[in-house]
Amino acid sequence: MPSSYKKPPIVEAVIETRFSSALSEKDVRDFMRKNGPRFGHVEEQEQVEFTFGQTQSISRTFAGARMVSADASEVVVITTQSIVVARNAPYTGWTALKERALAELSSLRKLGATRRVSRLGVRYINRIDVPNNSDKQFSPEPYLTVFPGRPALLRQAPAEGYNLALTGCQVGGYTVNINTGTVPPALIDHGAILVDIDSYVTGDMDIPAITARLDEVHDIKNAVFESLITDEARKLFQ
Amino acid sequence: MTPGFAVRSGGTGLLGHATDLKFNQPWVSDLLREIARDSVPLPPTSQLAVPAEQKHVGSVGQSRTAITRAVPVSLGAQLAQRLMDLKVQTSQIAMHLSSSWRDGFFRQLDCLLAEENWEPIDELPRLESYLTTLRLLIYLGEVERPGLGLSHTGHIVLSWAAHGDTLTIECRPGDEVKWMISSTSPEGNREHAVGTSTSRRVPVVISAYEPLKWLKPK
Repeated sequence: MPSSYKKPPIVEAVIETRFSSALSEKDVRDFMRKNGPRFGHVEEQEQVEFTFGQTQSISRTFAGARMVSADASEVVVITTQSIVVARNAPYTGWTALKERALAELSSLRKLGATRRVSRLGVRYINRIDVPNNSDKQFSPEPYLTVFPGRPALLRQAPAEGYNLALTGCQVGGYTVNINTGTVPPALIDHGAILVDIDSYVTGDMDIPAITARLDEVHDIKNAVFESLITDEARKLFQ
Repeated sequence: MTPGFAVRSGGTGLLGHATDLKFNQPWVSDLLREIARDSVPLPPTSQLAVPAEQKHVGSVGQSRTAITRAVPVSLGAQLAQRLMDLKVQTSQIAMHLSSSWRDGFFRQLDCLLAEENWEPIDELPRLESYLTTLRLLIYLGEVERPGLGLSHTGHIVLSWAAHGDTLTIECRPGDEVKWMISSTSPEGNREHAVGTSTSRRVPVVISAYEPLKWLKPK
């Protein structure tokens, strides 16, 4: 995504790192203890499991933690399986997000909890807010290059809403999943289009190797986003 | 799924749906009610990027339901959680707010939900009301930041004052607002007006009272 966008439509940007082997509960708790104070809000999470049948039981196990900055713009979710570093709007750029993700991984490494990585993903959830008087039917078609094909009978009038998922697209050695569609408008007198792009790579990676991989997977995401939107859409956030 | 119970759920945050779970074993229903009561909803952010909150694994005669939830918290922590929920809600449209406006607004929210200002009987601010608040404020444009209050029903109340004239707007769920005006006419008479409308009608219905005296950024 060009850095020149004045108001990028990014609602949430996420870097997820999944570990090849699970962290221990102690690893996660150590991470929480060390890094929790940097956040305004730390929420421990647990998994509750009910078993029904001839035997009935309930078990509660530690699942991890969700740490949110005081202004709710920065989020870290750590579990024994993965660490997610997210940035909510307003988006402050890829470099800042990447550095945060690498810093969190470095922190895990210093705790001796580093594991090899089995999946590295970058996910951007964009919402394009399109001015549209509530009295008028909203048509998303001018803003995107992808739209479900329709038979002639259904092409007589613009479609008001749609939903489209493309999964498992292979782009430059990375896998990309795309979800796009109309969503309830966040603003009055607007229509809204979701463009959700999840690009990732799987394999057996060590922590140093993912630094370069992160830039690549992000570049793929950017190229996909730009290919999905039209100039009409770009005008809205330039 | 085993005959004898049913699970109904949806969305990404289980806890918002915990009371939708219907079981015919009373102990399970009681437990779920307890969980719903002493837990707080998880903010929506980032849940799109993590595995599903709830899994149902079923076979004939045996079924397992796994739930990931926030660990129960104290009243003070619930206030902090709601404050965080409001800020997360703001983040959904923060690209339409200037940083300085948002920072100032967050300071007001911090003050509104500070534990020392809180009575145990107070209703927590309702997220649906807060959504109406955000949508209204963005719709009005770059306006002077209003004073923030809370009704006894948990609705956000916005207020502006200028030279003894006041504009108060109670934000209700679903883009509905109740507005109250106390203003001095050009002839020097005191005028009072109250009404309800949708958010998008607010600029029209208050236009007779020279609203720029309240809304124009100072």
